Amino acid sequence: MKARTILPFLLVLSLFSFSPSLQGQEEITPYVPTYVLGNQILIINAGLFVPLFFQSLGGEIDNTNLSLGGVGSIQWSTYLNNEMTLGIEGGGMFSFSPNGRTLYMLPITARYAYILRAYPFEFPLSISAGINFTRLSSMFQILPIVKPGVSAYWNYSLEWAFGVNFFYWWTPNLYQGPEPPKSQSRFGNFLEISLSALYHF
Amino acid sequence: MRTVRNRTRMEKFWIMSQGPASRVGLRISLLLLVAGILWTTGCSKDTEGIFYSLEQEEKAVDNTLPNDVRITGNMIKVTIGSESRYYLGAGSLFYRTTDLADNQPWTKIKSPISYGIVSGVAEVGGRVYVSLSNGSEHGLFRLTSDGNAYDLGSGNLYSDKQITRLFTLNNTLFASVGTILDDTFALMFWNGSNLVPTGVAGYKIVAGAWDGVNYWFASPSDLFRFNAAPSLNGWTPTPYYSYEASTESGASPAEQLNNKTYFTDLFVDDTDPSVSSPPYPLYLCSSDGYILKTKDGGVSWKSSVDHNRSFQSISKVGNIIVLGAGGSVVRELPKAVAEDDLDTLQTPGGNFLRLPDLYGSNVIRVFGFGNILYAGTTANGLWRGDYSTDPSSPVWSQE
Repeated sequence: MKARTILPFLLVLSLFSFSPSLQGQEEITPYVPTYVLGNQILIINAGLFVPLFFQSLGGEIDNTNLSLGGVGSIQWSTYLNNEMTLGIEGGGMFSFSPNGRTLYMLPITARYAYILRAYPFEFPLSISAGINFTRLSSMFQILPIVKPGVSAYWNYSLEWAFGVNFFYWWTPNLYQGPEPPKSQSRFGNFLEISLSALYHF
Repeated sequence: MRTVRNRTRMEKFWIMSQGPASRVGLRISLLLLVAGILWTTGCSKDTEGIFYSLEQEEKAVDNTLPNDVRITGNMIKVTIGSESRYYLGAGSLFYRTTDLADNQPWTKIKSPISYGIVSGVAEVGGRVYVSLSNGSEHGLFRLTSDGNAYDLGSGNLYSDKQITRLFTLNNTLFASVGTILDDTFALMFWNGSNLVPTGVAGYKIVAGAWDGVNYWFASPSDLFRFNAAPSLNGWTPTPYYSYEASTESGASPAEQLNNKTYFTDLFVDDTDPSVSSPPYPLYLCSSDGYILKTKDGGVSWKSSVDHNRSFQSISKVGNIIVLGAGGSVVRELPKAVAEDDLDTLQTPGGNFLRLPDLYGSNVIRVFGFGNILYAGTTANGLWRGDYSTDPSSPVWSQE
């Protein structure tokens, strides 16, 4: 069922990706790039930040009370081989509380991605881990963060690709007490939906 | 399928990019990954968990008083007829019932002076008196007996000088008159028909209090104490304590008062459960960070450490002494009443730190009425802290 839905969609997009001026030039060899260790990419992401829920140590789920926010990041990676990349990513998000407080999170993470291909489409499955500079009003903490995610890219050219990302932000905010008490520990769960511009070099 | 015209150029790029820089980047990436994994908890001096704070946050209640007004006068609680009301000087004069239901709005009373700013409001004999000024025109007016409007029939009761403070002590109305522009400060009192001088002149009185035995008045650098009732020029303007005198001669009523100055407010705690008869404990605060307390009518004093805060006002809510601390907003002295501890200073709990318009404001006046505290700001209106349910976790809302 999913294949029936996706394949026509991919087909239509593939047709659009052809340049009419090039279709008649049969003397030019079709070329699918292969990447090796040392090839690099630079990615710029921007999009929406969707607060999902907080989870206590006991497993209770509660509302974040945050508004829909904004997110942006820049990422550099290098290919380990044709299927895998490893890099670093820095970015930030903002979102507002009911009384107008602004939550800022600025994660700096290392990012590993495994790339599935159906050229000109690529589907990186990625996981990032690192530190997350978190500020709410005068409160500040450096938290750990893990960001698993999936992306879909369309290669516009050999240098440029454009796509969409769905990254899950999981960031524990843990305390040992006495102040703040351990009972105020929470796991933050958020979703990043962003658009990407990717550059190969 | 996309094609390429210059395959050699791409290959050259790939070869060029396989250099030492990539290996350095790889190492940095691995280092960050390890650091992120090892960093299981962050360091914090916060009193509340960040995500927990968001989870608990609720939209603060906001009553009808404009949120951007400056509190220009004081606030009193008065019973008029069968209704208990708050009156507040916030540019204009506002009032509302003391019923704290959200549907009880503030009502503005039109000023009898064009662009008149309220500097004080006080109640004597069941009538409310209000001082106003627009800079050139000054006045003392009385409200009508129903408390809903200025009593224009009785007219302007005093127009000679600007009244900067108005307060009632021991059922007597006092007014601090004069400004730094004319430098003719004087303390007046209402003799039943007019404002007349008490005899204290040349000092800018900023606060007054009655401890059950003594009248206390504070100017920025002086303290006055009188135990006789006010009469026309009946008080000698000799300070009980003067900063200048203490620095020049060393003479001072108590060592703890030595070199203290920049006084801003006085407060008498006549509900201290440990004191059964007057004099009641008197608190004095200063804008250079001190709180002082006397429990014996000024024979002995206790001083706090230098809190390095600009205390502007002092009052009590529940059993907690509270301070309007300027840019530090509101601070509590949780042990001042029971243990005379003036050094333990804390930020209010509850939703205080979840209200940026409150904790980002400059609080110049605090008014305590039982378990309800009001904090008046320079530009963020009036805030209410309800300490009735849990004194350690008051519920703050904006008036």
